[in-house]
Amino acid sequence: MMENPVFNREFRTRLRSRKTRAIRLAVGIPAALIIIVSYYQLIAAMCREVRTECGEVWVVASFLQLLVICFIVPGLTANAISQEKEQRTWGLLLITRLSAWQIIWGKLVARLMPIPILMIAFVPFQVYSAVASGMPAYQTVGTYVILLACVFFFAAQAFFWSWAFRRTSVAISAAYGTVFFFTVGTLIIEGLAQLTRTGPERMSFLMRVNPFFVLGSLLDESDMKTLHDAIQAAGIMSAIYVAAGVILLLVMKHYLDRSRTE
Amino acid sequence: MIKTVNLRKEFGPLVAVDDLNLEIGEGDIFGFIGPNGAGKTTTIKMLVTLLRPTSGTACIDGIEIGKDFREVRPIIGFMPDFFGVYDDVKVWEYLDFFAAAYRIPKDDRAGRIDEVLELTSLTVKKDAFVEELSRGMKQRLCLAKTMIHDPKVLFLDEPASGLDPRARVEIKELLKKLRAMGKTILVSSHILPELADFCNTVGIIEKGRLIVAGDVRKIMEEVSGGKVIEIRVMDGAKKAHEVMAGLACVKDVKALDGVLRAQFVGTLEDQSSILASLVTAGVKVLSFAEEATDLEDIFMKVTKGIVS
Repeated sequence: MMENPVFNREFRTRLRSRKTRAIRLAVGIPAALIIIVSYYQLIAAMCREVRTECGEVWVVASFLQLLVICFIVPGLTANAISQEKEQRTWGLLLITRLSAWQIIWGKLVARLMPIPILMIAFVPFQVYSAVASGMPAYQTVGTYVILLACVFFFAAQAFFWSWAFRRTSVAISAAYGTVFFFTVGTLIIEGLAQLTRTGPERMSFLMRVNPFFVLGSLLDESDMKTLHDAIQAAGIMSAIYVAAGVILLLVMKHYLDRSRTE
Repeated sequence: MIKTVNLRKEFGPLVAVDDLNLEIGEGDIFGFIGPNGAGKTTTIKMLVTLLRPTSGTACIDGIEIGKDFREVRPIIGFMPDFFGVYDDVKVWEYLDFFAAAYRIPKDDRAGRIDEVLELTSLTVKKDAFVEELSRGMKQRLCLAKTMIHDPKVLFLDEPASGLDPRARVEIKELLKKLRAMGKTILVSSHILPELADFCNTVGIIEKGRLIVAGDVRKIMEEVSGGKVIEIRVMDGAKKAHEVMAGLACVKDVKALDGVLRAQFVGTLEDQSSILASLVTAGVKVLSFAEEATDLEDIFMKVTKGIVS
C-alpha cells in the first residue's frame, strides 16, 4: 500500500500535540462523562429489561451523536489547509511530488480519526438498545447511514473552505455557517414557507437535507404512512450529502492537479 | 539550465515581472539582485511553479515548466524567504516527511537525512523539536529540506534574511559547499557583498525588468566604466593629475585630499605604465591600487530606486 506521508505526519502530530491538550481535555472529559452516563443508563435498562426505554435510549444516543458530529467535525477539518497557508508551509508542500489525492485524503482521514473512535464507543450501547427494543434493521442501518453521511459531508465542506480561504477564522466561519444552514437554516426557511403555503403538509426538499429532521422521521414509528417517505428521505439526504462532499473534493483535486499554485 | 523567454506576471494592472529574458548555465551561481518589490520573489515563484506566468515561457533543464510542472518539481529545490515549520515535529521527522513527499525510498531516507544534517551542521539537533531551534538553525533546516531530494537546481530566496552576522557566514559557507557540489543556484539577496563572494553571474532587476545580467566581473567593469585606480601621492598631486590626464587609457581623474582616483580602461600593461609615467615625472607615489568595486556600487548605479 502506498505510503501517505501527509497522513503519517498529521496523525503523529495529533497524537503528540502539546498545544491542544487543553482543548482535548475540554472535549474529552465531557465526552467521557456522556459515555459513562450512557453506559450507566444502558446497564440500568438491562436490569429493568424495559423494551420501550431501550428504544428511546437509541433515539437519544443517535441524536446525541449527530449533535456531536455537527459541533466537532467541521472544527477538525476547517483549518487543515488554511493553517498551512498561515504558517507558510503550504507552498513547500505543493512543490513536492505528492499527488493531490495524497494531500486531500491524508489530511481528511487523519483529522477525522477521533470520530470513528467516538462512534465505536457508542456501538455496544446502541447494539444492545436495538436488540432489546426489537428495533427494525432499516432504522438501525439508516441511523448509521445518516450519521456517516453527515460526518463525510460536514468534514468535506469544512475542508473545502479551508482550501478556498487563506484565513482559518474565515474558513471556520464558513464551515459552521454551512452546518448551521443545513441544520437550523432549513428549519427557518421551511417555517417561513409554511406560513405562505396552502394545502396539505408535505416534506419539502429543504427538510430532506436537514439531518435532524430526516433522522427524526426515520426513528418515528408513530405514523406508518410516512415510513416509506422516511426511508426514502434518509436515502436521498445521504446521497446528496455524499455527492456534495465528493464534488467539493473533486473540485479541489482538479485545481490542485491543474495548477498547484498558492 | 534555466531559461526564460519573455516571462511575464501581471496582478491586475500591476506588472510584477515584465518580459524577463534570463539564461543561467549549469553550475552557475546566479545572484538575483533588486530593490524591494522589484519582482525577484515573483520570478522565483514562477520558476518553482508556485505561480502561473501570465505569458512567456520558462525552461529548467530543458523541461518547460508551464506544460510539465510535475516533471520539473523533482529536480528543483526551493527555499522561500519566509517559511514556516510544522509544530510538534522533530528535526529528523520534518526531513523524513519531505523525503517521503519527494518519494525517496524508505530504505534510503535515514542515510539521506544524516547526509543533509551533516551538510548543514544540524546533526546534534536531530531529535530536537523544530520549534525549539533558533532562527539560524531553522534556516539551515530549511536548506537541509531543500537538499533532501538532491535537486539539480536550487532557488534560494533571501537565504540569509534576518540572521545575525555569524549565522550569515555559516549560510555563506554552506552555499560554497553547494557550489562545490556542482549545483546550479539562483539566490536572491539584499546582502550584496556576500553575493559577490560566491556568485559568478548576477542579474539586477528593477520594477519587473532585468536591467543587466551576466558575469559579475564583466558587469562591474561595464557599469563602472572600467576599473578605478586609487593613487596616494606625497606631493605633486597637480603634476600627477596632468600626467594621467594625458594618458589614453585614463578616462577621467579626480583628486581629493591628496588621493587621486583614475577611471582606467586598458590592459594590465597599460595599468603598470601609469605608475611608470608618474614615477618618471618625479611624482612621489605612496600607494597605487585598484579600487574594489562591489555589487552595492553597481546596484546603486544601475537602479533608480523607483520601486522602494
